[in-house]
Amino acid sequence: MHGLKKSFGSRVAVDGIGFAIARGEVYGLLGPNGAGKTTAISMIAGILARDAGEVSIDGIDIDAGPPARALVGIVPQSIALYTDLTARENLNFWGRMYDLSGERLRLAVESALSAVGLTPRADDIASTFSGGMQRRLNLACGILHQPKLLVLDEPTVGVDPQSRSAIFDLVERLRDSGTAILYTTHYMEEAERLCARIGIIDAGKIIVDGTRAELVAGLGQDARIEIGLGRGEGLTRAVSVVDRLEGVRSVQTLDDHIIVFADHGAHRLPALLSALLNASLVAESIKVVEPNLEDVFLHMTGRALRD
Amino acid sequence: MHHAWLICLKDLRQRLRDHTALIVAIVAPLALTALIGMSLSGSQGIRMRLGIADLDGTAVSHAFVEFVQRPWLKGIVVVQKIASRTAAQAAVERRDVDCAVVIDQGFGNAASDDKSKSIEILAVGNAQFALQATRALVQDFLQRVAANRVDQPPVASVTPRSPGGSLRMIDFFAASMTVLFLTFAVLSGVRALQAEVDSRTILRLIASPADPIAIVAGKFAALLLVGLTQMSVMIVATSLLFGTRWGNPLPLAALVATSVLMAIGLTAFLMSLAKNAEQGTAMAAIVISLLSIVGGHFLPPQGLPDIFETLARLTPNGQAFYGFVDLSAAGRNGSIVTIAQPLLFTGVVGVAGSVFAAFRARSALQRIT
Repeated sequence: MHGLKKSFGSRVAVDGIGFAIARGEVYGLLGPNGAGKTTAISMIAGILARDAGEVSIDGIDIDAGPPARALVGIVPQSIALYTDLTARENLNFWGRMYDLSGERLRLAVESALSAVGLTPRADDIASTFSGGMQRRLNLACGILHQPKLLVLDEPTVGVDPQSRSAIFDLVERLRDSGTAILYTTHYMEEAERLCARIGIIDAGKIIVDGTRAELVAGLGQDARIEIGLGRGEGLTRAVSVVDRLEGVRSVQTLDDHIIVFADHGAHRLPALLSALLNASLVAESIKVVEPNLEDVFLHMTGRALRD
Repeated sequence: MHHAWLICLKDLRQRLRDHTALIVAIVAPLALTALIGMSLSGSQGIRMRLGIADLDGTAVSHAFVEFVQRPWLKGIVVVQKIASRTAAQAAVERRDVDCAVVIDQGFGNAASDDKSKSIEILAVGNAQFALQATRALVQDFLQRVAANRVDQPPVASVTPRSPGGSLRMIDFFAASMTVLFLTFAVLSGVRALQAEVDSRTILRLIASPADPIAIVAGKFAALLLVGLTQMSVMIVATSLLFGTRWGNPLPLAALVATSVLMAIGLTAFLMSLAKNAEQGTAMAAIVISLLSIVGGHFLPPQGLPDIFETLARLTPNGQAFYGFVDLSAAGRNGSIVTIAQPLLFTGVVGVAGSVFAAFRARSALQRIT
């Protein structure tokens, strides 16, 4: 897909984004709330009309009609189930909507139920399921017709560890079977575990993308230093003091901490503490952290992923 | 159409699984029809004792007596002949009759000479029903005298406002409860549609290979079938259980169709104004309850000032309901023309409400994507 654009009135929600996902690859799309993730996903899945850009799967334009749409499976962020129907009835319905019937439908339903571990509860009404089980059924509805591209919009929000682990395993199995997967999440550890490549989207644009190693290397630093100072005006003064020090690339605030990105971070620690003391600022806590995707995200967007 | 059919079947399955909706659609209106109809008048309809003091004694005054004793009014208007005005007044005051008319000497000659003619009506203050009914009969007669067509059959359109006409309480309440609960039955389907937007399953539908038109058609077909089934079951059940007369089948079918459309349009409109299914259901329930009061579902029109019926006919449910009442009262003489206004009114409300809701739904979808 490339050049995707969408505006709502004067507000530009997605501004010319594009990326490719290979067969058997999981691509993570990370961004703060309101960054344009869901709008982008909606266009990719054919739910929302694009203002510009193209989406194709195996060379087939997503607008080419029902056969093209059948190549995509979507798992919305919210649990999109008919909770007054059983798990099997939900799956039968969605299977038929994707033109499965007869033995093919029966096998697909059994396979999907088995994949998400719901075979024993197949004939129970979905409203009697726990949140985690509903999430798994939500996922099963999206993979039932074996799509070429699977779009997962934060599929693990609010699930128990057991269901989360089951979802991870399933995503990895689908990846290994050759499904291209577009995965959005608020959980950095999910992105680090599952996604071969990651794009960070903010204000409707993909501001950086690459493998985890490429993104971290792009920070040009080997550590970040978190210094707890307590709330109040001290934070602002600390940023001002630290920002002037040699080797400091950037300083940000997060809650009652300042976060310092510096070359050879651990070696800069004595100079940092000395400067703060000279400014009558006392560190309540100090933490040196190896850079990870969270740092990349924070560095690129100025916000933590949970914001 | 394959996808539309799948969506329709799925929606119907969900409706059938909703026991509350089944109770609202069928059980509650049947029970209320039986309770209210039977408790007010059993199945015998309305009876009025009418005293007539014929002081004129001409062919024209005899014609009035025959007019109110036609087979059509048998058992509804019970005539007692009275000798004088004084006796008529006394009979009214003693409640020996519900109302009395005095036909003065010269009435027949005045009619023959095409002069102004009138019939005096006597009633006590609280006999509003009898007074209105008698007035309607007298006016009808005088109009016929003026047109020299006393022997012609009654005109269907005035029947509902006549003293019971051929409309019985059970017919009135069968139509009333059917229309009232039709809106509630359809509301449960519209609520499910709103819930589909709230739960985002609508996104899955849009992302599926189904054509958007098939999605709309499937949803609409399910609502239509729910409404048509509810009305059909009610019509058959009340006919079998209570002997309710619904009138000529062909115009009846047309009015059933536009009434269901009206219920869909009305509830979809109300639901589309809400933020979510819960709020929409609560709001629609309040508005429908208010409309049911203004629409006259609990008040038979006979004996009430015309303003009640006028107000009722300003509401879409009132239009549908009075359409059924008119059709029932007209019996075999009922036609599309008899219910032209209700047909048009309910049809327009149905289409307008549905179109408005469709536009609102489109905006809602844009918000959630």
